[in-house]
Amino acid sequence: MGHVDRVIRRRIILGVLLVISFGMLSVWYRESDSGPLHDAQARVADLAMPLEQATQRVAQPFRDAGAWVRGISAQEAENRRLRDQVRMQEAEIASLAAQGEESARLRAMLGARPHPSAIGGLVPRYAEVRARLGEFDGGRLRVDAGSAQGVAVCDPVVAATSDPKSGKLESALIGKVTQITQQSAIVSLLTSPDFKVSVTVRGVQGLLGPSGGDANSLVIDNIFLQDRVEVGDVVTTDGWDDKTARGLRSCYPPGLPVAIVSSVGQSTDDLHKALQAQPIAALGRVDRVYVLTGGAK
Amino acid sequence: MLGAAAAAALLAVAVLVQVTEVASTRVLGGTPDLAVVVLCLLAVRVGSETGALAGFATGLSLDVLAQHALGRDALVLTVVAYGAGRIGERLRGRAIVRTVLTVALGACAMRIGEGLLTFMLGDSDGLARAFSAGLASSAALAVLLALVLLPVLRKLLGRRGDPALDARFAPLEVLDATAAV
Repeated sequence: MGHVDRVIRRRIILGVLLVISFGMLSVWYRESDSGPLHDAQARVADLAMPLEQATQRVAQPFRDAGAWVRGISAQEAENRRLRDQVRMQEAEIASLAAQGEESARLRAMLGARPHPSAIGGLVPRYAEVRARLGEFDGGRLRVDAGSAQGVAVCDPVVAATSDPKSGKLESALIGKVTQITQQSAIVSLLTSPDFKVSVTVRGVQGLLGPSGGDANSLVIDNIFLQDRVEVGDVVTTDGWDDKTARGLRSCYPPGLPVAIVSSVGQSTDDLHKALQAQPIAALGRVDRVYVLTGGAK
Repeated sequence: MLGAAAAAALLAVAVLVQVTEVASTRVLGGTPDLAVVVLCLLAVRVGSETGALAGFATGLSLDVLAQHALGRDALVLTVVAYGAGRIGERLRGRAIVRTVLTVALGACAMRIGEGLLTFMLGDSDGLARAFSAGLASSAALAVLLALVLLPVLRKLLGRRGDPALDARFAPLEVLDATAAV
């Protein structure tokens, strides 16, 4: 009898927990982003931020040690890469002038305006990464800047990275803000399934999004076969602006580096190129970011 | 009482480390799932009822901290921990290999369950990600983590079949009974 009771009790516990989980899932999906369940979730997440910060502080020495070991093993490869780079740059200088002219000509054809600056008109807000969300969350981060710091949904987020060609430090787009609370914001990374951004590569406009197969790779659509795009080209944000009374414009500033073209092929429709790109910033290791506030929504 | 508190603290630390440090780490396409490993080890130790409750609490914490659909990880982890607990109830003695294999199975079940749920909730790549090469890597990483954590957990909570262990987890038995009522 005791065994039967125990079996029944076990099944009741499991059943109740599953019903609660299904119930929460249903309510969460049915209510709006400002619903009570979303609100409670955001508040609790904000409350847990000091704990997350403490965990990161404790883990910092281990992370530094790991980075140090990785750094040593990467030195040799870096050395080889730099030697190759010097050789490539000598050849590149020769073709740079020709490319500049080509770029200007294509821009004129497209009616695009020259890019004024990387972070034109937007106010950067410093933020630290507090949580990295899992593989099934579509590559997202939680940062410690929210509406109280002037952050809004759709604000672009950049991280410092070194230019793969010149080695100079520059900012590269890593994603955009998709949810905010008062003290934190969720950043959808370039590799998130629903992320799309208008980009320019060699003066040609395209649409950059995540690759379905490889979680760390990006694809660029709408580039025609006759457009000259090569492996190693830098992909930047387009920052389009329709300049009409409607005042529609991209929420990204123009000219912000995003990715490097990693492979060029031909798509199945025989009209477009199949382009793959790798993000410039190391999305998996970003821990400090700037949210560019005050842009278009 | 001490055992229950230590188990809860361990799970809380595992969840925090998972969300802040481990979740974005990729090793051969797989992700080490610290929270699932600790949860499965505990579930094997304490049985299906307490395991299911711990799984629900762990999943809910992950849902809140990761700010994704509330109930998603709670649902999957409740089932995973319940299953690990049921296997644990059938294991006798130290059974290290079977315990570690249960953890690997739990990690795979978590990945597949999460993929299936995200697929059903609209992410068309969810299933593909779940059954990618990362599945084997995740299981292998779970085994490695379990081998490191198992002695620590045994030291902290005592061995299964140890009479002192039952006394330590008495508060959880009371919790089970309350939940059942």
